Amino acid sequence: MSAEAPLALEVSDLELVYRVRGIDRPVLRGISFSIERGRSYGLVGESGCGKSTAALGIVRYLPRNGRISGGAVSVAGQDVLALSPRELRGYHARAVSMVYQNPGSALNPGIRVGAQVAEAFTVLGVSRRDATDRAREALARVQIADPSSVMGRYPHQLSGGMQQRVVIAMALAKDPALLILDEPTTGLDATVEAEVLDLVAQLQAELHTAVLFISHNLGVISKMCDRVGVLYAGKLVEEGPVGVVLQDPRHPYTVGLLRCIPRGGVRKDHGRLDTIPGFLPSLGADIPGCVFADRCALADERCHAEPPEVIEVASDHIARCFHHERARDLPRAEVADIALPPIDRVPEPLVRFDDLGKVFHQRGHDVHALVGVSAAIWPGETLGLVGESGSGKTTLARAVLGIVGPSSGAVELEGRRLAPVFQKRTRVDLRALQMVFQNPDSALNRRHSVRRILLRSLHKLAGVRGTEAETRVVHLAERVRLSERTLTQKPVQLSGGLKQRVAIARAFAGDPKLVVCDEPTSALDVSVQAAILNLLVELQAEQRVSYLFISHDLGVVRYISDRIAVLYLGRLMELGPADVVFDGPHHPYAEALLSAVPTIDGGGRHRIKLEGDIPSAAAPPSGCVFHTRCPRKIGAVCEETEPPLVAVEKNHLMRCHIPLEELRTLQTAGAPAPDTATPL
Amino acid sequence: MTSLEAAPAALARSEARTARSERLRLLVRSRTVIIGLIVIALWIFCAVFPGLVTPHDPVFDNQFTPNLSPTWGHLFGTDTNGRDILSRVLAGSRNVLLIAPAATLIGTVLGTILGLITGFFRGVVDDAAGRVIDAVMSLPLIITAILIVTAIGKSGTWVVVLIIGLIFSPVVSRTVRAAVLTEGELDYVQAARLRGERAPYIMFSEILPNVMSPVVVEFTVRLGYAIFTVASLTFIGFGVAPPSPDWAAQINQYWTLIDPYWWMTLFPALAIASLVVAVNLVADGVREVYER
Repeated sequence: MSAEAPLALEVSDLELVYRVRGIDRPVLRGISFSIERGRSYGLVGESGCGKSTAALGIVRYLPRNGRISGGAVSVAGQDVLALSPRELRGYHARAVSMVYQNPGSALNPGIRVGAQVAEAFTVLGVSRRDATDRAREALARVQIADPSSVMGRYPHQLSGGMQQRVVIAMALAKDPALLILDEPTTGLDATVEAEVLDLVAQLQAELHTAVLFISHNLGVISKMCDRVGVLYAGKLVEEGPVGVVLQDPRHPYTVGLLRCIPRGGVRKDHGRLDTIPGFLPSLGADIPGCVFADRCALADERCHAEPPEVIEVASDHIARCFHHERARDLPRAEVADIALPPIDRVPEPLVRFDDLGKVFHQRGHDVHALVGVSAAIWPGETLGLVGESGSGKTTLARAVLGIVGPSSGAVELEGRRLAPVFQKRTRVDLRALQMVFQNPDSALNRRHSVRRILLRSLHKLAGVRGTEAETRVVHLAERVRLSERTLTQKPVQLSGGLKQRVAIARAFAGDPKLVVCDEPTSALDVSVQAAILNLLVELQAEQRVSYLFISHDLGVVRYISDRIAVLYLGRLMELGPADVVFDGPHHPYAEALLSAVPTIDGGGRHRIKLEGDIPSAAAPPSGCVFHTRCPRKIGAVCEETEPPLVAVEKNHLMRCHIPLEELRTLQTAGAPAPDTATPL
Repeated sequence: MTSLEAAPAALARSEARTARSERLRLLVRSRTVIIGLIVIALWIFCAVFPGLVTPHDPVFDNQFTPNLSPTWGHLFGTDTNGRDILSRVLAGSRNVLLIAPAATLIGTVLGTILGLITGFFRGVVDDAAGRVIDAVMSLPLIITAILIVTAIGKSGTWVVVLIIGLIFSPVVSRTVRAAVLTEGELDYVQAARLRGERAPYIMFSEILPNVMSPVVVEFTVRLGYAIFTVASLTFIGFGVAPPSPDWAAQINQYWTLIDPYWWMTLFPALAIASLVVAVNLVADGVREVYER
């Protein structure tokens, strides 16, 4: 490297330890990478592999028990590890910026947005008066339409996407040499995520900032980064240009990660998802050989005994694996495929909701969370619910379960009308409809043992107790592949995936007919997600249970669903078989949702931008509720008349003024040019 | 699929087992907690075995020259009835050590139940109970106590216990209610409802174990206040009466003679202070460990 152009970030052999109960436990075991100015580098890996710790080490903002025990870090030619506390402050103020996952907690809730952004400038020595003007410019730069009005608001008055823009504006105030983004879009909707990612990419090109992008989402990394490093147990196991690594992975861990993700239109009846067996080594474990050897199907004696050196498998592409040539032939962990019987839609459906509506009364406003939703679910079928947050997915699920009583319409189970709220439902109805929650930490009582949790559910839902219940508990645990030993443990002692298995076992205690799954895998790592999805499919094959499945991950929804319902502002916009909804021609809203998802393979769909946020359900737009954001709006008819939900082809319902054939032509032609969206 | 559980289970078990002992370890490591515990233990010993620690009889009148200031023979002096004050102070902890914990226990149990009910049902129940609690808490403690005693029409140890318990329960209920509101948002409560559990089961079997930390903290903090309140009520004449060597009763008896017989008031007062401070030292430690 020549002296006049130092690398934006150079990390060499960085070692980092956390001191836990008096012992130094290695978290980073010597990682090296560098980022050139104007480039972006992605760091991927599952939780606990050291991604965020690496970022904290680079900015030297470690918790008290964390210590850098070796290696070097330099940012723009400056040795970060040699800085005095005083110099470190200057380094934090001027050289690096960090954007975290949750923008809501990164902003001070008690200070107006304008003052917070201005503060980012005053710390750089800008006068108060100038700082306000600079803040306005900064907000305009992150494409906030009306900076002056946003500056007068408090953070809670902004949507998540807007908040993250404000945080990015503050991070870029100092024109940093290095911008670190730690899962910046994980909590956001796909459409908002796409906008924020576009913004980051555009700003990076303008400002020529180096970006370190941390994410568990390979699609996001693929879209945003030039290079990628795969981190496992504190070691960089593979590194190279993003396209090369993701298309031609040479480390078994990368191969495994890529196989876990449901993508490319894979469905449950195509086969089971691959998983990565085993677990991440415990924090600071002493590993003599390859860090991944314990979970690697290719591992031999040598892998367990000596650590593989960095091997240049191609120019500019390295992997730490003795068997990098065979990595792509890694044997599959899940071999046995299961037969899913086809769904018989001739008899009565299991569950039918007819014209379901829900109005919440909030501060004098009527908020229509659900408007005339009718659908049915047959035995053994999965109905996937998709839509942005605020589209009514959760309200629909809660209305089916009776957690909220519908304002109109009713839910029928096997032809019987159910009581509107669960308190009035019989035990038979309660056991027929159960739920798996998003966050297993919240869903399991942390003071109860697994045995107690399951016994109680068996007692209440299946009506068994005593010795019979004791045997049934073991059987129930077996069905979700939990060992008997797990029963004596409490939730804190279990990993996220095992906790979710317990939650699933609880829902299945009374042999339910319909299980509502509300984002059941979004809190889990991809390898665990794959195992949980496999389990749900196995249970479905064994018991013909039906699922109402909510997820923002469209790959997951497509994998598990037989049919998909697309909701927008509480209205059903499209309902049809999964393949039909995904492959099109589809509703313009579904089209936009799908195009927003960054894919690992890159390219593919042309992005369709949705302007602005989802409108308020208290004052929904006239006519077609989607017309304010619709890229394919055809004219006044969209603003005046709400299109009916009609069968455009067999089993495929859609709510749009554009005829199906025209949509087909339009959608094969690609994304609309922005000006076609203007009213005629 | 046995490999599924192997690794983290073993690791996590040792972590969970240490969670409780870790708390104890942190508590015992704190020097202030140890000092507090030693002082409390000494007073409990005195209360249980007064005969072993008192150099002279604490109750019997005219054993010595009255009104002696502290000397080597009588380190704390003697009182107007010719009794050794050191013996009376050492024997005087029994009353307060009986009433204060009993009252605190009643207050904590009642408050926890009240907090669970108001936090779980919210709505009308919470609003109604909230207003009553506001009213009770707005009155000074002593006034409420006098009102209750007058209403009951008699005084005595167990009346004092009941009064303090009743007065403390609203304060405890506020803390518990806040914790219950947070817990109520968690999905396990929803899951319990969805399998048809009744409210008492959810409150006591599902939520209560998860709000024990604030309950324990509240108990230790209230205990300090309770000792002070018992002393105050005894001082103004409720509860025990002379010739009991109770600290507050001694102060009540002699504080008008503080000039020149200061020792008759000072040493019982110091005894009360030592116990209150000791309990608060432990309470601070407990709070730190439980509210981490």
